[in-house]
Amino acid sequence: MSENQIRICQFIKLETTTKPEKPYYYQNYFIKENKTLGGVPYSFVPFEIEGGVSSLNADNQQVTLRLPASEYAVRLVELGDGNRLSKLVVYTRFINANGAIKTGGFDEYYVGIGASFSDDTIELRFRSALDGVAAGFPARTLTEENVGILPLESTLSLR
Amino acid sequence: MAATFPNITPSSRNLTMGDLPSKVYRAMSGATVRRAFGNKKTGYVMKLQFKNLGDDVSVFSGTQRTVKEILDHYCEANGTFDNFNLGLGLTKGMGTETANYFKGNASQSPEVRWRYAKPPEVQSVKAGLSNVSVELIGEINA
Repeated sequence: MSENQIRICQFIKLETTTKPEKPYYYQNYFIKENKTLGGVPYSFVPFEIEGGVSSLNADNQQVTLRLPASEYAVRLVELGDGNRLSKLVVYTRFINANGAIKTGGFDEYYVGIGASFSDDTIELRFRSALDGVAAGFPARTLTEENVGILPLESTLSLR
Repeated sequence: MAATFPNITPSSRNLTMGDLPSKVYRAMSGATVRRAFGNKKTGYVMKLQFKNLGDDVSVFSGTQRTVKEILDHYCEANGTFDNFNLGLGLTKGMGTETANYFKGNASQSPEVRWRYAKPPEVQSVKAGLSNVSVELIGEINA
């Protein structure tokens, strides 16, 4: 019989470009507790993660990490170069009824593309680390010589 | 943290236990799956009624607390912003173990902080005498 109650904890490791040697380790399930995963203690922070993780076209999916606009979150953004090119690893783990972390789980990797502030939250935005290559993309270098003036944004459409 | 709630015994008290933060997915078949988002209960509610309190002056020659003390405490707690400990009076009449549970003195006590859920309501019943309704909420501070 399958379980109809699930408990999911997300552990994150956030490595900023300004201090890559000192990553932030947070988890969002065990309130006011430190939980060890892979020998590293993760402190509690009430964050939530939202966004797509995959699609048929392997697009560069965007994921948002939302934190309350608290002092540590502001500091994290300001000292982390606005979350530009930071590295995020999300470890998704299932928790059993006794509060123990089950073995196995899923690991995902993202690259920071920026952050935004609102009155009560701070959002760190990420994209999947490897960009997708669309089907039929020509196997040659895209230069101004063969396609003309290139756009400055990332939106390219092949016709 | 603001000062402890004034030591006033309420005329009536209504307590609602907290719950685990969770969401329910209910399929069209009626089958449900529940997901918990945390491991501690939160959202305790305590509704209190104080009847026939003196507005500024105690009606029992200084032995009974006044409406002003509750309103002063509300101001001191910055309205619904700051948290505070429950005073002795708020748990009067409860069994010792239950009172200790809600005051945070028991080993299984919820790790919540109490604050005003909304501003107190004062209803005047006669000159210098009022009923006060107070609603407190116990939540976990991040």
